[in-house]
Formats: sequence, structure tokens, C-alpha cells
Amino acid sequence: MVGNPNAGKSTLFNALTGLRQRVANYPGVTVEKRTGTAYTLHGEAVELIDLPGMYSLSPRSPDEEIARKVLRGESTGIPKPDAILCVVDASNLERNLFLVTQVMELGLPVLVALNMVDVAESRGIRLKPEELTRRMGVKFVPTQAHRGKGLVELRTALGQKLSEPGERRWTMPPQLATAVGQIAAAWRDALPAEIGAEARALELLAGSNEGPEGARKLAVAWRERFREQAYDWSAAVVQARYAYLKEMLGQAGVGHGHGHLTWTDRIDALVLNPVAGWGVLAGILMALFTSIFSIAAYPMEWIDSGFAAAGEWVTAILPAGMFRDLLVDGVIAGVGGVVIFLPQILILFLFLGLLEDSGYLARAAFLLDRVMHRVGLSGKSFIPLLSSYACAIPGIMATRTVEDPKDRLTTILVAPLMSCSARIPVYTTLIAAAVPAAVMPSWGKAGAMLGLYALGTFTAFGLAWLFRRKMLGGGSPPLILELPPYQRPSFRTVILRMWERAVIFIRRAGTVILALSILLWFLCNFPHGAEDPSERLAQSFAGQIGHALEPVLKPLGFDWRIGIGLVASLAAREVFVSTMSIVYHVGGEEEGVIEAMRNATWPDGSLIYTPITCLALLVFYVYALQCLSTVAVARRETGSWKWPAFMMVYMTGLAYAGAWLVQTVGRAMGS
Amino acid sequence: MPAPGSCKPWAAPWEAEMEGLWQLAAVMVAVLGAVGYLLWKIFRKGGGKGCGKCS
Repeated sequence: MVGNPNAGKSTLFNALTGLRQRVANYPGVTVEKRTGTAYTLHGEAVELIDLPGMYSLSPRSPDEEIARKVLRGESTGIPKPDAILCVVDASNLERNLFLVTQVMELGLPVLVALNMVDVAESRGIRLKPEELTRRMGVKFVPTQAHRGKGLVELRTALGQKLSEPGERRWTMPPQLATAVGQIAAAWRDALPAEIGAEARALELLAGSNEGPEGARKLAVAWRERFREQAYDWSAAVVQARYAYLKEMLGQAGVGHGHGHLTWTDRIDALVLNPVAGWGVLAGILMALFTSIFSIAAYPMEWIDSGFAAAGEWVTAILPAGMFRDLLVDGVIAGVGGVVIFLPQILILFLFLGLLEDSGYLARAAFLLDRVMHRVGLSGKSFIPLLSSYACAIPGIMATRTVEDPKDRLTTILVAPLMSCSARIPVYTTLIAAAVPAAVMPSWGKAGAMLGLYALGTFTAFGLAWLFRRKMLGGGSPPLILELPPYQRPSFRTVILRMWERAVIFIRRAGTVILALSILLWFLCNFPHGAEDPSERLAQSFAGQIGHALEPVLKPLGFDWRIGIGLVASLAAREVFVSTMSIVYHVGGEEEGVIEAMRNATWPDGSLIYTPITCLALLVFYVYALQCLSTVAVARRETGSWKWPAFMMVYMTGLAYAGAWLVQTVGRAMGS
Repeated sequence: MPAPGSCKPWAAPWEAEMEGLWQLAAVMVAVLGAVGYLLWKIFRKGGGKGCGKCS
């Protein structure tokens, strides 16, 4: 499946494949490969690959390069496709069909899903699928992927023998036609079985090095000649393709729309307004964080009681001893301490999914572009940075769509500063520990949460400016962003995405978090000497590490038990909360951890978790790179250890300095 | 009816010791398994596929 970004390709892919999907990476790179099984109307299985969105087959970013290779059958481990399903946005036909004209030249059977016909019709665009089929020589099927309309027709078409596109339909400029003719002939002489020689000739002219030597040499010679003649052949190809499309659409009687103000235009007038737009964005974010606290509280309570009941059941059936302690205080408390945050994470993904599907996210990118440009980044960095709110790993992977290498590196360096979903448990616990629930209503907590997100975001922008403008140098390209029309979000797509996240989160809780919880319980309870739990913890391996760290952490207001939490959460931040439940022996209950933290004291009897210490700890977690997986993926994406090491050092330094500043200012103000 | 084990008073401490031993053995198996799993996760060929929660 290929198509322009925002043509509804992934929605159609989800609608066709449902839960029969697999997500992996393309060999050797970290571009996500999404495959799934669809069924024709007669029940034949069709294997679909959802390729990254692209505007043309001339690759400008790694994503587009991968897509081109897969279509060519040159990607290792992926067989050459039998046919290509092009998804086009019917409300923007000319630009979307540009890619189709290129795809048709690959010589494979092509089927076109004319998607978003409802949007096109609402704009008064007359669509004539039969006429388009007749004129372009490939089948057009009208669809509305987000409403599941046209799927039966599409599945029927998938089961039929698809026509091969045949000869090129656009007219090549004469000057170029000679060159392409010669290069294509040389290609055919060397590889007579290969189809699409003209498309290959154009690729060679564009600088590709793949192909028979004779054809390659000819391409170099022609390129040189065009350069001497100052003839921009690539612009001529683009113009020729568009000229053909314009004429063809005109002859087919496909209308251009009535030009009236649409709903999209009216909504945009508000949400893209330089003043009101920011208000809308702030309102949406506030609603997101308020629901993270208020709505999620109910399912969190159920999970909490579920784990508490599991703990009681294990206590009842097993004889007292260290294995029972491991199960109750280590496994159930550790895993339960993390799983309890599943509802909050799902709400985050629900909101992100709804905003993306409705078309609002692109508007937010547009609003933020001005800010992004000030810090030296392009608007293209917005999506990677936004994905980092969910998790820095997909965020860093998404930087592959950023073409400028310096922009890309800067985005990778600051992406982990955007507060990811793994920080939610830490933030929630510490905010609750700082201020009792009775004093702070849920909108207050949401405000505090928003403040922490803002702190990470603005620091990321400030540092991006420093890295991009001062350290790496150079300007950044202007933003080209498509604002798709607003549409009713597809709940099926959003729910599927949430389901995917839930499975991944629970799998992680059952593997890495489980293993870390067992290890942590062991470190907190061995050597198994003292009977008194707090004395045992102090003498334990973890306690010894915490005590060794205390002199370094004391200026931040952190005791040795917080030190244990910081060390334990080096690999994954969310482990901090489960560490605290193990350290304070309170089982998996969230309230228990918060209560124990509120009552924890220094040897002189003063409280450890004062509001200022909680704030210092929060600032520490906003800035610290407590995620080994982020380090690993940054290593893979930058190709060396230099930049991940730099990230680790600057973020830890920033976290320490930030927490110290909060504590020092707080003390000076007499808190 | 006499309580189980009361007719063999020597058996009680021995059984308690066995109870402690199997619990220690189970803990050790769990801990070694956890360490092994984490090491495998860190050092497996070709590196990790991201952090699992998102890849």
C-alpha cells in the first residue's frame, strides 16, 4: 500500500486487516514495517505491507527510500510485491495522482483506492471513478476508510486480476525523451526481462548508481549535458506529469469544487488564529491532563484492589517465608505498582489518536512551527517531538522523516526531554505525595502536570536552539506541511491503537518490570540478616548503594532510599514507583506508597518529602535520561556512542542542577 | 487426635528447615532467572528492538 501522507492509508490498512497485523522493522534500519493479512470477498488471503507515506518516488528521506526499495523488490527479506494498492485523497486528486503516475511506471498491476470521497463531495468536487479508470488504465475504487465504506468493493477488486498500467500516459519533453530513450534502451539490452526501463532511466538520471554499466555511463553523460545547457530536466518531468493530470482530470469531467468556505475553513479560522489558536491548544491539553487524573481514577482503583486481593490471596495460601515475601512485596508490589498506570497511559493514547485522526495534530504543528523555527528546527521535527510525549523511542525513530541531518541530530538530542508516558507514574505519585488529595482538586493536579510537561518542552526548545544554532550551525529549511480536512475520527482505528499499546505495556510489565522487581526485591532484602524490615533494608545491597550515594544526593534533599529509587530506575523511570513500594514494604497499593512517602523522615525526625523535595525530585525526573532503551536507540540512529554519551551527560547534569536549584531556592525562601 | 508431627518431636525443626530451604531455593531460581533475562535483553545479538513499550 502506498500513498501520500494523510491520504488515509493507515486507516484503510487497519480497516482491511483488523487485528491481523504485525509490526517489525525493515532489515538494518528502524523504519517501522507494518504488515497484515486482508481477505478478498472470496476468502483468499492477501498479504498487505503498509509503506511509509510519500509524495513521490524520488526519495528525499530514509522513509521514502525504503518505500521505493520495497516497491522495486530490492529490500532484503521482502519479496517483490505482486501488485500495488495506491491510496489517494479524493479531495486533493491532482497532487495524489502524481505519485500514482510514478507507481504505474514500475510495471506492476495497480489498484487505486479513491479515499475520502465524502470530504471531496462536501467540497463540491465531482468524482467519476469509472471515467478515471478508463482514462488512466487502472481500476479506481471509491472508499471512505474511516467509515468502513467501499471496503467490499475494494476486497472484491483485490481478488480480481488487476490490469497492468501499460504505456506511459504523460508526454515527455522532447529534449528529455531522447536521453531517456537511449538510457532505457541500454538498460533493456542488458536486462531484457526487467520491466519499467523508462522509470529506471529517470532514476539513473536523478543520480542512482544501480543498474547496468552502459546505462549508468549514458545517464552520467546526459546529466552532464543537461547541466551545461542549464536544463532543469527534473522540473520538466514534474511539469509534464502535472500537465497530463490537469488535462486528464479536465477531460474526465472531475470538478474542482465550489470554492465556498467549508467547515474545515471555518474551524481553521479559529484554531489557526495566532491568539485564539493558542487558547484552543491550551484548552485541549488541559482537558487531556484533567481526564488523565479524574477519569482514570476509577479503573486505577479497580486495578489497585485487584493487586491487593492477589497479595492477600498469596499470603493466605503460602506459608510465611522469603519466597512468599518475594511474591507479595517484590512481584505483586513491583508489577502492580506499574500496571496501575495503564488507564492513564491509555487515556493519553486515546487523546493523541483522536487528535491525529480528526486532523487537529497537523494544525498544532502549524501553530508550533513559528516556535520551532525560532529555535532553529523545522516544523518536521514537531511530529517526532510530539511522539516523544508517548515515548522517546518512536519519537527518535520518527526523526527519519527529517531530511536535514543537523535538524535530525538536534531533534534526537532533545526528544527525551519531552515527558514520556513512563514519567506519568512518577509525576502522579510525587504530585500526590507533595500535596494531599483533599487540598488539591484534580484540575490542580492537572495544572501541575501541565507545568511539568511545559518545563520539559520549553527546556527542549531552549536546548534545541543552543545545539542547532550555536553548536551545529547552519539554517533550517522552510516547513511544508499539509493540513488535511477535519473528519470524524475513526474509533476503530483509535481503539486498535490503544489495544496495541495496552498489549505492549502489559507485556513489558510482565517481562522487564517483573525481572527488575525481582532483582530489586533481592537487593533490598539481602544479605538476609536483621529481622526488622527497615534495618534489613539499610543493611541490604540496595541500602549500601543508597548510603554510598547519599553524600552526592543530600544537597538535592534526597535520602539514601530515594538514591535506591534513582539507581533502580536508571533502566526505566517508572520503576521508581515500584521501588518505593518495595523500599517502604507497602505492597502494590498506590495510596500506601504515597502515605509511606509522606510519613518518611530523616534521622532527626524532619520530613523527607517536603513539597520542595518533591518538586526537586520531579524536576530531576523531567530532565534525567533514565531509560536505557532510549540510549540504545539513539546509538543506533546516530551510528556512534558519542551522541548517546553526550545525551546521558548533559541530561544527568541538567537534572542534578535543576533539582539543586529548586532545593536551594526553596530553602532560601524558608520552605 | 494428636497434632501432626507431635508423635515425632524431632521432625518439627527439620521440617521447618526444609521449608526455609525450598523457599530460599525458589527465591534463588527467581533471582537468577531475572538476572539472566535482563542480561539476555541487554546483550542479545543485534541489540534490542527499542524499549518494548513502544516498538
